[in-house]
Amino acid sequence: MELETFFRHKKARYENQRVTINREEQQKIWLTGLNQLYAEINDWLSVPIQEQIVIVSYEETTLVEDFVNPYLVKNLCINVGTESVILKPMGMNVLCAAGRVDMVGEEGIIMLVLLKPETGEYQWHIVIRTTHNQYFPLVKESFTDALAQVMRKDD
Amino acid sequence: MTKVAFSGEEQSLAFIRQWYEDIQAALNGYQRDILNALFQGKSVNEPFLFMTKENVLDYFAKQKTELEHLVSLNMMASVEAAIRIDYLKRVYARKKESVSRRFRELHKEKGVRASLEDDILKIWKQELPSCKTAIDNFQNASKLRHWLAHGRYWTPKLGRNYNLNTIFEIAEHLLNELQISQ
Repeated sequence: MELETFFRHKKARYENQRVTINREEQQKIWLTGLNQLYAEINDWLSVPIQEQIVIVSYEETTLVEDFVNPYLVKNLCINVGTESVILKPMGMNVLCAAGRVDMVGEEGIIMLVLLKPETGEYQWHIVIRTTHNQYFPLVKESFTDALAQVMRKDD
Repeated sequence: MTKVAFSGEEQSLAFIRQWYEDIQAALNGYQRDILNALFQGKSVNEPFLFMTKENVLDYFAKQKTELEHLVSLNMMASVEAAIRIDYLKRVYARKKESVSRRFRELHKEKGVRASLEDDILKIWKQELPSCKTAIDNFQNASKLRHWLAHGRYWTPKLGRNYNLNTIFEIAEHLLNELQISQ
């Protein structure tokens, strides 16, 4: 096979894969979900933020993913004392989810995934990796448990 | 003299190499299936849930490294089997040339418990000095074999990087130099 033919074949294959899913719609769902996640976390943290116990900051980063142009997203940093937990958007091209954000602390990483139940709206879930993956809806209580798991364990 | 009952189940380097290529092709096929599922929004088995493309590629890179490790171990075990079978056959056949005479003396002293590296290969090196490089290369690579065979719990000092091709070349070169066929 000639070099040009080889790469034309590759490009055609890529296009076939790209059009199997509406990528713009996929990206819209992911970015909307990400905004909702951040809004929800800010809501849960409103009291500690008001009391100046916690500072939330953002840093812009570029995500480079297949099938879409590179785009900007924000890491959300939760700063408390000498510690911070960073929520890092990993992307929308994730197996069996509409997107993934990794919650990274000093003592661990927990995945948050955007899932669509058979009926209803997309919802963020928290993934517990044991022998089997288990995932639970992300609510204030499970978010608190996740923070406790990835942050420094106090004596 | 009690003779060893040969099983006939030892594997040749060629067989092991072919097996490796078959399994590697299967792993690549599995990797393609998972990536296609990612690109097309299809479901996958549980270990791959929520992986990105980079996670999938990392996962399979580790699997391929593991495959190389296990096949390298098997190749070196295959060489050991070939050399030990040759040793025992020379003893049983009571051949007259010098390597066989030395092997008979060794067998009287240590029987099947003769050490591959300290006894059998040492005799080969003394009786056939032209094989020294091939034997030294094999003995150096044996550090990798010991590390793999004994559970990898220490940091190995291998002196060089080994991969499946270098292990295959070292193994094949040694058997060729000793004129041992599989």
